Amino acid sequence: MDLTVPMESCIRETLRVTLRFRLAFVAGFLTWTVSGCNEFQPQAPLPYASDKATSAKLADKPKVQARVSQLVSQLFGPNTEELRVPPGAPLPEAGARIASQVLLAEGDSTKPGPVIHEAGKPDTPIRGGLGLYREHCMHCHGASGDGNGPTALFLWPRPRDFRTGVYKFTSTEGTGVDSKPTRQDLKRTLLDGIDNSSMSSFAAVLTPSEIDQVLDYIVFLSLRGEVETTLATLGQDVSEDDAETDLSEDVAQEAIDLVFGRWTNAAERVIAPPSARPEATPESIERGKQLYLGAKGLQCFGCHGLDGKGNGESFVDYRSFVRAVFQGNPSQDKIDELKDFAEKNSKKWADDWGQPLRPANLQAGRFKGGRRPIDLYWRVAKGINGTPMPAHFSSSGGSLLTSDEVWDVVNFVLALPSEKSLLEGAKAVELAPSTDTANNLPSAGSPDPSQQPAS
Amino acid sequence: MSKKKSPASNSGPESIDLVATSHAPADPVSPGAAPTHQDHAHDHHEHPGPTNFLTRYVFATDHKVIGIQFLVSGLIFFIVGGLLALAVRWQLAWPWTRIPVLSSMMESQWQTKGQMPPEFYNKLFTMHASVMIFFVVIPILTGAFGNYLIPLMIGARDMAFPKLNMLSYWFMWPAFIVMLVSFTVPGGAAEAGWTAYPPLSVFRHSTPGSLNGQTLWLMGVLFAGVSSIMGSINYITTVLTLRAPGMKMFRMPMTVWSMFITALLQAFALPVLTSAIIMQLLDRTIGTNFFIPVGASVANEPGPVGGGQPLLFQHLFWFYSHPAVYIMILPAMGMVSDILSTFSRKPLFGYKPMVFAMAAIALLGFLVWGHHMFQSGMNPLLGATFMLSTMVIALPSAIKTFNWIGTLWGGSIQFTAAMLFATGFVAMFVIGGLSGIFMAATPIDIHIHDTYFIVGHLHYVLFGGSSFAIFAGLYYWFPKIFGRMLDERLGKIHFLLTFISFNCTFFLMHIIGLRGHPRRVANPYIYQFLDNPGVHFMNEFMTVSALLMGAAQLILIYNVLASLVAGKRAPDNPWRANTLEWATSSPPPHHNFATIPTVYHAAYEYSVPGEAEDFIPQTQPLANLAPSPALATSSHA
Amino acid sequence: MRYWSLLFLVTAALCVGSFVYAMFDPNWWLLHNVSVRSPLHFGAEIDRLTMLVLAITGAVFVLTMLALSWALWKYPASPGRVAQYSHGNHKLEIVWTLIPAVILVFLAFYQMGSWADIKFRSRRPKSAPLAQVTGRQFNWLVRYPGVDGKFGTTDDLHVINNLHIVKDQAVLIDLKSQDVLHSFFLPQIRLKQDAVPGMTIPVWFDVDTPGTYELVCAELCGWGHYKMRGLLTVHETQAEFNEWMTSALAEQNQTQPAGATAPDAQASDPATTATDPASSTVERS
Repeated sequence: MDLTVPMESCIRETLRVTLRFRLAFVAGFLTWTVSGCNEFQPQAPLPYASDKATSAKLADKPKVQARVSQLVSQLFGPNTEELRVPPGAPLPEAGARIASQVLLAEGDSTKPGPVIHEAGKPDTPIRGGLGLYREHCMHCHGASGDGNGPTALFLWPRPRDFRTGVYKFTSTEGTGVDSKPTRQDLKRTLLDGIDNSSMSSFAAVLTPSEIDQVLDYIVFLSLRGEVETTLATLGQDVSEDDAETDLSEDVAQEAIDLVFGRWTNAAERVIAPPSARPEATPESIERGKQLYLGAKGLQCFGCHGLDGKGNGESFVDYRSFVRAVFQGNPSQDKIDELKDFAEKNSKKWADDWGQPLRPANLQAGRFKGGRRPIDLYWRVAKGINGTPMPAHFSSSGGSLLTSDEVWDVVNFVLALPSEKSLLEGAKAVELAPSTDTANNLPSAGSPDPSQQPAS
Repeated sequence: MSKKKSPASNSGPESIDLVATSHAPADPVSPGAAPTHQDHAHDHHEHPGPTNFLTRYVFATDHKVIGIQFLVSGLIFFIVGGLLALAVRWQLAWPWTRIPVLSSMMESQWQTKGQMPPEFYNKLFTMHASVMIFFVVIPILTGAFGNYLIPLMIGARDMAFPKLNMLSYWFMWPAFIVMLVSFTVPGGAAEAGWTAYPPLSVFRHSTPGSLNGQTLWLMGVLFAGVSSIMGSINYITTVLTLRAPGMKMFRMPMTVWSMFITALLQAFALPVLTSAIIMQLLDRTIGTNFFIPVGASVANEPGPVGGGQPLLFQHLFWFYSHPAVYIMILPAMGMVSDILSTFSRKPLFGYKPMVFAMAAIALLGFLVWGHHMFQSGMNPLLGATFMLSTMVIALPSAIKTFNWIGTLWGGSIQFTAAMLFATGFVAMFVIGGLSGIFMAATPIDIHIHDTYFIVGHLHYVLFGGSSFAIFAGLYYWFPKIFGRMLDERLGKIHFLLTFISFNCTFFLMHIIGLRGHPRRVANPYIYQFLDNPGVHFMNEFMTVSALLMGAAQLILIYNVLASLVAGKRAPDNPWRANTLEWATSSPPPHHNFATIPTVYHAAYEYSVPGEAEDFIPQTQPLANLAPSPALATSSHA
Repeated sequence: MRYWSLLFLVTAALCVGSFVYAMFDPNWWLLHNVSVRSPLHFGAEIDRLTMLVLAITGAVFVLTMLALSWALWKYPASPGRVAQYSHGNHKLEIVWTLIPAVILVFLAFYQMGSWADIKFRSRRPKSAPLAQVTGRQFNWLVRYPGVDGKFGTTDDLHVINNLHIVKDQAVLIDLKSQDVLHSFFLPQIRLKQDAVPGMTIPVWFDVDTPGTYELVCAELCGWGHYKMRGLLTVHETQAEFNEWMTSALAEQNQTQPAGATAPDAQASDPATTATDPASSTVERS
């Protein structure tokens, strides 16, 4: 055993690593570094994801489809980063806040957005709705606003698809796309979040001015999506050969007018309750409870359950729902299965976006659309857009509720979380056989006429 | 007490009759005889080395091969874990910007122009910690160095249970596989942090990584834990029963002592972790409710029946994981003690106090787990108790530090790469130890708990401590393990760059943490008190330093590869050290020693006055001095 | 190569230096403490202990690093140099065991009192809890008992992400969680407490300066953990607080659309405007 080799000589020897190996290592490393250089080149902007429902309409008409995309990109910009606001868009400041740089409608030159003006500091450009959306919203709602960001798959309820222009919690008249949210409605959602969902409150994360910017951008995404849908619908009647002529810019302008028109007058269409809210006396609550239990033929309990826990007979049972939504991995197959099951049994199961949902558990005291009496009034009186929750108010009363009766129901719903005994052992109200709406279990397949929204 | 080993107690075909061989006449061994054992085949005490490739290098029972296997897989995962950390740092410095390589890889899945979704950030730090702790630091320290060095340093031919040893390595592979596969399952890898606190880790819909990734994570940790248990049983038995003649317990080098104490820690603590992990697995899979309280539910997922207690998991987890902290630092301390002594050419200062300090750390290590839970909602009265025990556990660490400096003092210090890393270990451990006092103090911990102060502290202990010791050990034992010398000059450059960039990366974390910068936030600038030029500067500075530190490791990679191919052949004892591993060839033959050596004195007889050489191998009796007691009362002023 | 010792010396100097620099840069150092002149002044207590431990550990650090660097400088290998042969020194061992032991045990006992004041359940204010704060993925739900002083009734006031209190009043909060672990962290008051589902944990503190402070979630709670920012609004007087409470209740009981009765209630939320540097005018350029 050689224990006497001096260390110094070992070290000197060690330095004689073959030159070839050293060169190979350095060359390999350099190649790797250079191949990584394209990492820092600017990336192409993301295109808008195509809306499946829209493209299905024109599945067999590629030319029409191309024409629609061409028009939409002329109007709103070609991709998710080069934004263009058509003149007359129902956006504050003509849409200038949707991004820090906005393409002019007339040409392709960009125009700087507004700046933040603070005393003693140089003006700084706003981040703009697009930038803020990308940071805070995109990972759920997706770059195109399709509710399909990387986080979205694992959330229930699924994030909103802004492109359809349907908003659940609005205060305006009408249903679906016609019932547009007011600025206040959108702001409340952003500030308070949506209880019982993954939408959290942004009141402490964004400044009021930033909230305005994000809202502008979200409305922009809706406008674009709605125009696209409208044009696609029009395109269904257009033959392949006439795509250019029949879908002219005038037609596009009509579509724009239609869509913008829905948004512009939203604030004027806010529903104000005709009567003031009565005191939440035990009597009012009791009246509300009777209405809930079907005193007027409205079967709130059909969906929300006789105990108010959201497990009514009209909906698919909770177990099937849980199996489809929460067990195993999220998959469209399971949702399709649930759909088949629901349709076979004539049960309600989904919202207009084709996502399973549950009626609210009224005992939990968590109100998605807000807990103010006025919020609940709107929920009861005009329903929740895009969901099976219908409007229940008619100015004439009739088989629907009068304003006072809506308030009674609101009082009852507000009292329920703290007085859980209210619905203990509750039974559906048996109406006299002469009343033609007396039917304890409404069949979801053929909608009960009494549950149609009042127009 | 001389080694008296009854042949009857040897078990298995691999066992070696130590008594017989130890008295055999010294057999001259020619260096390079290692692969050819045919010339020893006549010796019925020694089995020939396996000739089949599979049994020799893959399913090997030779502790040296297994040690190298642990080392190689550990170093590969070191790169993986390091890259994950760089992605974490990138996000903290420039949130939501495109991350090189990673963003391109994930582009099609995210559809966000390379902006990482926040849950992916959680995956990054979760997997960084899990990989580094369970696949890198513990396996390299105990698996690689422990396996390789224990038999060699105590003069044994192999581990007590060679097949169990092999199994302990191959149990790591299911762990490697499930952890890596977890990135590809729906929802992706676990994202509940390496601490996996329920309910976040139990509710499947609480966060995407809890959907499937967490189950795989638990299985991975379970496998890694089983592997560690097997290893620890082996080490304990080996150290207790297979020591060479004359190798009394108090003649063992510190490395062996530390591995032995670590093995004891693992043997006692791991069953608790295993049970906690199995309980969490049951909660996740068959619907038990060990850790879920009544009424909790998440993201509208149907709430389970409940009746459990989230804090129970934290107690069980830290009952293992605090000792695990010592599992990750004790072997490092042992290795550093040996390296410091060798390169100071001076006996280790206070050998027995060092051993007792280590034992005290191990014992007290079981009594301090609650200091991770001061703010957890645990009864604050308990917090007061744990504060005291935690303060006391700082004491043995302090003793060790002073003894290391005592070892250097008056030495004849050779600044080799191994020595520099060992000294770096001492310096960094001082910082890591002192910052620990802040956390031990419960009132201060109220503010700094779960902030970057903790992150800084733990990286000073685990990177500045354990990893520097791993580097030191690599430079020190590489000649023995691979029979080639590493390039010393590159080693020193590697040390210089690593040491500087390490401090630049982690020291500011203390300051940023005192400011309140929380851990595990994907974008700290949501908070206004962090969105200022100072914090931005610190975060960017730390990230740039971390990137430099990553780049500095390329020197090590190059050095290792180049030296393996073309390094100078190592002599048997290049560092002129005393311990037994240097008494055999480099690399050692299949059964380590031609004849089992006889040990005449403790491991640290350097610069003994009146001796010809400044080192006296343990196999060589002292010529002029009687074997001194391990702790002589000060032979000089 | 004794010059390696300089590396350790310089590193130590830079470590100390960065702390010294940080102390003079308000963007780096501990946040302005707003629990100093108030009756409970927990923040001041914790800062005082932090500085004490910083001083002790700093001194130990400097001395240790000096010793290490000195040893490396003084004793490098050189031809003819022989290391001292020593296995240790009993007296030294005893000295450097006892001195740290005394310091550490002193530190432990010295801090017991502060810990007890801040966290021991027996020390909590005898008043009824001001509010319940419930962590939820990824919001802080604040609930005031309302007029009747009881939680869980219809007159409870629900606020999201904003806890309102009054200056210099010791407030007791019931901390809860609906889903996973969260942590209630007020960096400017140096207060932190995990929220655990299934447990109601009392938290008490006070603040000496009115204003808006940030509430951090400090325990990993899922993908949106970083978004879970809340605010603590401290009112100058009880009257101001009552005024806020009245308006918040009025808003919560709103029965007409915003334009009809009350102006935009959200915009007047003091929290969102108070901390907002960008809330100044936005103009077209």
